[in-house]
Amino acid sequence: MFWSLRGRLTALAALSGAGVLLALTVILLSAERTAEERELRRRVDELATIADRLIAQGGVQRFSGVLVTADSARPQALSAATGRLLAAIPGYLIVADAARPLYISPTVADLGTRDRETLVQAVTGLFEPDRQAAFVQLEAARLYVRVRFTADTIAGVPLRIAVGMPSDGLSLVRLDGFASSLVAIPLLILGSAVIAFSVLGTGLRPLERLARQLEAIQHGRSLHRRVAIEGDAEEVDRLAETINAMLERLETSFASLRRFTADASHELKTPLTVLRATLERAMQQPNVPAEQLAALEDALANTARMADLVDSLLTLARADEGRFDLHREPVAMEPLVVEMLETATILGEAAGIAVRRLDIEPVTVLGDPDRLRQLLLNIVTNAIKYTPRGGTVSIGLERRGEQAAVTIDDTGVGIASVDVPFIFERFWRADRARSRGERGGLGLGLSIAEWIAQAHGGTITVASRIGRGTTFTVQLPLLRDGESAAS
Amino acid sequence: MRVLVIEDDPTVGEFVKRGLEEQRWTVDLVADGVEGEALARSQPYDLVILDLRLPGRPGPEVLRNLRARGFERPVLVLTAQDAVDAKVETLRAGADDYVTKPFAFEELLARVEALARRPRALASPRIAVADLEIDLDSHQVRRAGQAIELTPKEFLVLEYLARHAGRVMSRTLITEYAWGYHFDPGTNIVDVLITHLRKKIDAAHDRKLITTVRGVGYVLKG
Repeated sequence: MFWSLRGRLTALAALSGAGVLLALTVILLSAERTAEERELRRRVDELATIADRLIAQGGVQRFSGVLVTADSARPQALSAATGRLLAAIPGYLIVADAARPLYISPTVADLGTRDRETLVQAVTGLFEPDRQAAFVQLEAARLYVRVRFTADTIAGVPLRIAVGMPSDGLSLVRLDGFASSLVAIPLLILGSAVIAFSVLGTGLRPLERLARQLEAIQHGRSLHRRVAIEGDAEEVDRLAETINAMLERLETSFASLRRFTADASHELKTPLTVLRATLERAMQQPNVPAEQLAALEDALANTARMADLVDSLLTLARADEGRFDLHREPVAMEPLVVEMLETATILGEAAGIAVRRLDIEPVTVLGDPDRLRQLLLNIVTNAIKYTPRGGTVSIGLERRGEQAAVTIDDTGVGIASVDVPFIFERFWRADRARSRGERGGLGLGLSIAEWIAQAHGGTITVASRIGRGTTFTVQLPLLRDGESAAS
Repeated sequence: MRVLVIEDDPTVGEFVKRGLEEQRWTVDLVADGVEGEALARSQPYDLVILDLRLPGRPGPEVLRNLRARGFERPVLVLTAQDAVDAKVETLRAGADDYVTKPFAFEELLARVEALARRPRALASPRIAVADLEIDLDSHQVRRAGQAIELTPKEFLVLEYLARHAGRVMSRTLITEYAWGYHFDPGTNIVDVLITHLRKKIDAAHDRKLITTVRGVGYVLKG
């Protein structure tokens, strides 16, 4: 499913959807953060302004002593009213001159010693004109601190007012948001996958329908059928039209092939029948001179060969159409193989080749006895043809599981491994020089043999080594109980 | 025994007619479907040989008409189509058997004899040529009373020659008879086989029965 078009598009949509959502989250979160930061800054500035006013109203002169000490956080020299007012300001407030703090708010005083020092140091560090804001990390909290200068001065130097507000909320919001959006990613992907899957399902339905129709046409071998043009998706309609046009052409060419096969059967076989009849009749006449008889026999032999060739070509043409129709009956293989042995022995005698009988077990298959004889004869004559004088051809028959296996083994020239895949191809011939100088036929024998084996649900396997010989094994399914004659 | 041949090709028709007449059949030959059907229904034939492509009325229609009107004698069909479905169709239409073109006469004769239920044994279970005796039932062969062991193919070839004793039988016809019609051995397998037969049948006798006809084949003569 996953590598189907729908699956791939779903994955793509889910990933890109999740990516977009993620990007959007980041943008929203940072926008939110900026807004919060701005708000924080505004508040801190506001508090600083208030502190500035309070100090101004209280009078700078009154700051003439040290307002705070390291030991006591309480304002001492500040007027009670100003100190009270300053203490009322929320947040962390430090008022300092150029060197040291003059006032720290109770919140600052309440911090631990280390935190207080850290904060004071940070504030002192911020007393540079170009650095007026910073985040300060304390043990207790994280502060956003800004510094501004008072309108009033002490000995000509303005006081600095530092106001800090906790920024933990700000940073936490950000991290929380981000973390929760990370957690959400698989959910986002899943969600967009579900949506994409169903949407794509609908979107791809015309294609799905088209595929189903084509499958039906393919399975039913019904080329006369056409796919429907639904009119609901332009691209699919175009595809369907193209497919229909192709089906049209396929149907035409298949039909003409079938017509050719039928016509050729008749058009080629009828003159051959007439020719044969004429020849057989002429040969039966009394007192035909010997030379004429020899000529007639020659013509008859060639007529028979031609009839066989026509039969082979038409058989293969039908095989190309996927027609494996055969007459079927239980066939005892033993007599057939024994007959092959005798034929091979006779052929071998003429060619100086010994024929050896291997084990022959009685087995029965379901098939066409004439075709099976043709199959074995083709392989046996092939083996004899490619075995040099003095060689041996061995023939055996055994039961191998649910198969009958006929073995035809020769000590012949062998077949190069690169050639093995081609030996069953039509008109293919091994190097002519290797076979004995006889007329070799058209190279259809093994193609026909393979077709016959396949039409019986069997196989032909070849094992060969150059110079050592070749073993052909024909395997055919055994006749099972209850199987009988049927076509 | 009477047989009707409905075949439009005069050469094939004559060939079948003459061949069957030689086997002592009485043969009528017509070339037209309509005429053939009428003849088959009016005359008491033992067997009809019917070509499928006929002028006048196509063979399958003739066949169906005959069967529909209760014609019960065997019908042997001549067809150029050797696809199984075409044959099934033919048999379904009422044919008893078929012969695929091109056919050897021997093949046709075998089918005709089988269909007409005229067993070969009835003609003669034994063939004798001079002092050679062949028993077709037991496959026993004797020359001058002495039993001779033959392999199956040797027996087939000898039987074939003996059936047509005195006539030259060509290598092609002998091969087809003994090995079937889809076999092209590439070499003269018949010559080797005849050598064997000669050793077994003629070698020990002055009178040779098997004679070679150069370039043609062999003849068995008494």
